[in-house]
Amino acid sequence: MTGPRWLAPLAIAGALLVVAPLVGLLARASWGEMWALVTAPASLEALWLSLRTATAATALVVALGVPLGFALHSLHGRVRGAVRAVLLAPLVLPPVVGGLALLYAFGRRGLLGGPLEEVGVSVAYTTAAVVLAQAFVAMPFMVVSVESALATHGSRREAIAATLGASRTRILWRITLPALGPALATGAVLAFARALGEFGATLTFAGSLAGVTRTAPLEIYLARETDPAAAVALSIVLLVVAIAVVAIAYRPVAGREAR
Amino acid sequence: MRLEARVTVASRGVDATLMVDAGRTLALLGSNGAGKSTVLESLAGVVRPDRARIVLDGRILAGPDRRRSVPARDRGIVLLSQDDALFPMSVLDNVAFGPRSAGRRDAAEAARGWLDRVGCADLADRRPAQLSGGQARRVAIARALAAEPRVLLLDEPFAGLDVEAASSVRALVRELLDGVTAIVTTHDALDAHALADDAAVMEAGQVVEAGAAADVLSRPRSRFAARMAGRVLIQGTMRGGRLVVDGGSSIPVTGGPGAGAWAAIAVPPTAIELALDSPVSAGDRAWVIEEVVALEPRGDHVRVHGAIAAADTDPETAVTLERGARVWCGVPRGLPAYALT
Repeated sequence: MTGPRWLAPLAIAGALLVVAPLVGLLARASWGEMWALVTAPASLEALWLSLRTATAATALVVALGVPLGFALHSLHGRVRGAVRAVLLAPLVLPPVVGGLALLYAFGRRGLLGGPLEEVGVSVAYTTAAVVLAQAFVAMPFMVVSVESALATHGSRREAIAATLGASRTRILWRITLPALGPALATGAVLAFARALGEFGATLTFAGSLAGVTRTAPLEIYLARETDPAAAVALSIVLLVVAIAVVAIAYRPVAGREAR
Repeated sequence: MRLEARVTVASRGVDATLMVDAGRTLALLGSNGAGKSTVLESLAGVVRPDRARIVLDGRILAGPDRRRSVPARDRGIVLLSQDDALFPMSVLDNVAFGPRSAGRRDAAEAARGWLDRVGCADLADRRPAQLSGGQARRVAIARALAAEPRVLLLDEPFAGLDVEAASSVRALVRELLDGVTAIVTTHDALDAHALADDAAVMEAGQVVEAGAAADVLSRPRSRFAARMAGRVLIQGTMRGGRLVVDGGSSIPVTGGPGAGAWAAIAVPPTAIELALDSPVSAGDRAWVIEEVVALEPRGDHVRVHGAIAAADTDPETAVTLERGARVWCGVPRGLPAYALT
């Protein structure tokens, strides 16, 4: 369907708003030094830390977010709505608020952090804190993906599988999860991207220790005044990753089995 | 291995009682929406009935005296649904699903054996999306049987198939059901005849007639059951070897109960002749004066329903008729009458 003509100038303005900053970033890049800047020890260290923590956070999100999505799907009516609203809050919460909340939960004197501290486990200002912060903000993507996929999935094949003698566990692994495959992949990719870009909650909850909690976004923020060229170079790396992630997560689904 | 059940599903208006003996096949006849699928789904444990008493071979699967009914996976009742519901895995894995769920080590072998029996051995590596309708149905049948069910439930096993595929699947099912305790739903009297030992007729959620298939199909007791059996039930009062119907016409019959008893003959509509004018000579038929109640288009012919009988005619004749028009139905003489009580 084609809309009325007057939509066109508004669409162009919208595109400009999104594309202009990206072009501005690319225009400031010093392409000749690009490789040297990205492979500088501080940049590499931050990138490597980002990659590790975002991967760990994604694993955590898959392991916990999928069961959470199933649990949410099994709720009914208003309860489901209320629980969903709470679970999705990190999606819209200012990251700094999330970081503060994490601090009061897992920090040294936090709700859970206090008791943990007593048994010798310290979370705040460690790499584990980075992973927690990233998982906190990325979890909603997986929960939403799983819940909406389950809503459209139906339970016909599961019921037939049960009459064939399959246990619930077997049905989950062999029937439901394969059918949810595309949704799980989308959720995981989006969660990974969100984890990779996480800044506010990380800074608040985990601090900015080089090599321990200083991920790529934090390194960009710190470098933007002392070494703008390095900041731009790192930014472009993250930009490329972001565009690749969106291209993968929202690719048209082809060859999915109809029946 | 005898299955006895009464299931009630209020939301679908179903309250049905039925029974199948070991090794026998029961045809559950009924029109669309009569509740046949709901009954099968309740038996298999796919749908949770509001009230149920299901006893398989002395073991109570569901009943008022059991808090929790036996879950579907422990019933040994396999449902072959109309939509096949093949899983998104290879054909071989589909068929091996039941044996694997039972922990059988030779599952793949068993699956190959069943694929061979349904004539799909060459399709083992295909995905469900690569199968034709008939192939998918065969694979679904193999998958159901590979699970070694105590009772097999087939929901309209020939629905949605083209004529050719349907007839080959029909032959396959007839061969495979031999000795298997099974319930087959259908709205086709021919299938009931060909496949089943027993038949039960469902109308609006209830089993209205049940018995040996030959009895139910050739001696239906209600107009509805007769229609499901592909016959017209002509009812009347016995008087001296004749069946006297409403309006005073009488039809010579053989057998039947004594004078004054309420009785019927079940006649295939194709055996009844339609006349638009009073027949000059009676011939070998008894003529019943009728008013047209309904005209039912049936492909290349039209079935003219009267208050008492029904007969088929060609479309050209049918267009000259309308509701309330007077016609004569020629019913063959000497059909066997039976008592209705």
